[in-house]
Amino acid sequence: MDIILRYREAFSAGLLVTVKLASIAWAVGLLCGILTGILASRYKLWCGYPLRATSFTLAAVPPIVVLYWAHYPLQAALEIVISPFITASAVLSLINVVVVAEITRTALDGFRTEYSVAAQVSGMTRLETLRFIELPLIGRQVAPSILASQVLILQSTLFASLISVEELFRVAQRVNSVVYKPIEIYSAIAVFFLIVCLPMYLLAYLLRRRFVRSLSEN
Amino acid sequence: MLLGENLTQSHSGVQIIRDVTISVDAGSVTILAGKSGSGKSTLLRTLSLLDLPRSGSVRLDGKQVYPSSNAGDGAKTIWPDVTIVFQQFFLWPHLTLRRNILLPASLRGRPVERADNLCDELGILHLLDRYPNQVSVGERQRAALARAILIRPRFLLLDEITSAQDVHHVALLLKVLQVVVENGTGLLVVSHHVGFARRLLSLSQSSRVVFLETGAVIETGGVDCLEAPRSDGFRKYVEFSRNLA
Repeated sequence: MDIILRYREAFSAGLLVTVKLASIAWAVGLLCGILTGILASRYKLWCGYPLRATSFTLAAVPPIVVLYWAHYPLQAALEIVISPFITASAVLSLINVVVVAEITRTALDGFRTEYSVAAQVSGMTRLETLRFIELPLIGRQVAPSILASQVLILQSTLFASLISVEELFRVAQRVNSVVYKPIEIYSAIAVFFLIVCLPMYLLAYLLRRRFVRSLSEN
Repeated sequence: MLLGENLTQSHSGVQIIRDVTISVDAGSVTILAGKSGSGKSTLLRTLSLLDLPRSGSVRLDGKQVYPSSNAGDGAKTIWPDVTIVFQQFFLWPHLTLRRNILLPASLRGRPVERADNLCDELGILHLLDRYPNQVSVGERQRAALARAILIRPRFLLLDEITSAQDVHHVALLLKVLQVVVENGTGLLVVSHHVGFARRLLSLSQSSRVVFLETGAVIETGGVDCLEAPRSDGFRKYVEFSRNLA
């Protein structure tokens, strides 16, 4: 604990960078991902298939490789230099957009339109059907998966340390290289992720259990 | 009157409904009979404009609602004056039975005070706080019927409404549907249950039976049709049903 307190300014700065990275990836991923998912479900040819191809590609290539590739060979090939923070934000956002879009597209493609038809023959308007039937049903289906994927995005911010982004893990490494107290330092990092990620995972688990039960027909 | 004239319908190039003319009067019952695959459910979907006819027209009280000048507009204007209870019910799984039953009626400003009485008559009053997956198939079917009745449609199309009901609950349905017909709603009922059909037909003088075979009307007539069918197909159908009863 002494170490953490002694280097609290460095850790706070690292934590701030981690939070910024995650927040950017979350915001871009959720906004653009949900929109892309809707477009992919509606326009299969020019959005659905490209999304699926990108999703398969990103599933096959580890995020760390994508990050490295975007930071070194891509920028060298384009003869540009972008700050590591922007590179990491862009890569994590792209990954999150694809993940969220795929979750959304799958839910929309699997949605039983009969529920909407039943609403409309009951006299509900298109807006009422969207508000009372479609959004709640689709929301219940996607919320647990999206929440769980956001935890993974937060954890993936650690990779940014490998391209010299001064985020929490990078700061921990640097402090450790000075004081060599790996047990204390990395335990503190583990506790941080435990405190933030475990409740999110538990919430996703509980939502999935509750919603899957209430959405099953039998 | 709900009138479908010269309706045809096809899916993937296969003609399912062929030049069918069918009408339902307000406060009367029309029974749609026929073997499985004869096109009964497709006819319900076509007449209610869920699936737009390939050709033919649909009129509601003399006003042509299909074809209309704007595609799809006719459908919007006949719902929920014409509504349908599907074979698979399609209760919304995230809502309790109470919410399922009350939501459409309350959104349309229809009176819902009768809801508890209606649910009691249908034997589902004690289940209203449960979700659809927490009740039996028969109970879901009756909840779907309650949802449709509370909207107060002028024409109610019922697809195999007794398919998941035991004799006790068939009797309950008959009582409820009698009130619906007395209140002026026209019923178009797909049913394989000859006893149920006969009882329904007795609810109104102007009731009739339409027998479909391979997508075409083979026979149509009053309740006497069930006693003495004229066509071979309908006679065999009624005899089979009697032997099974």
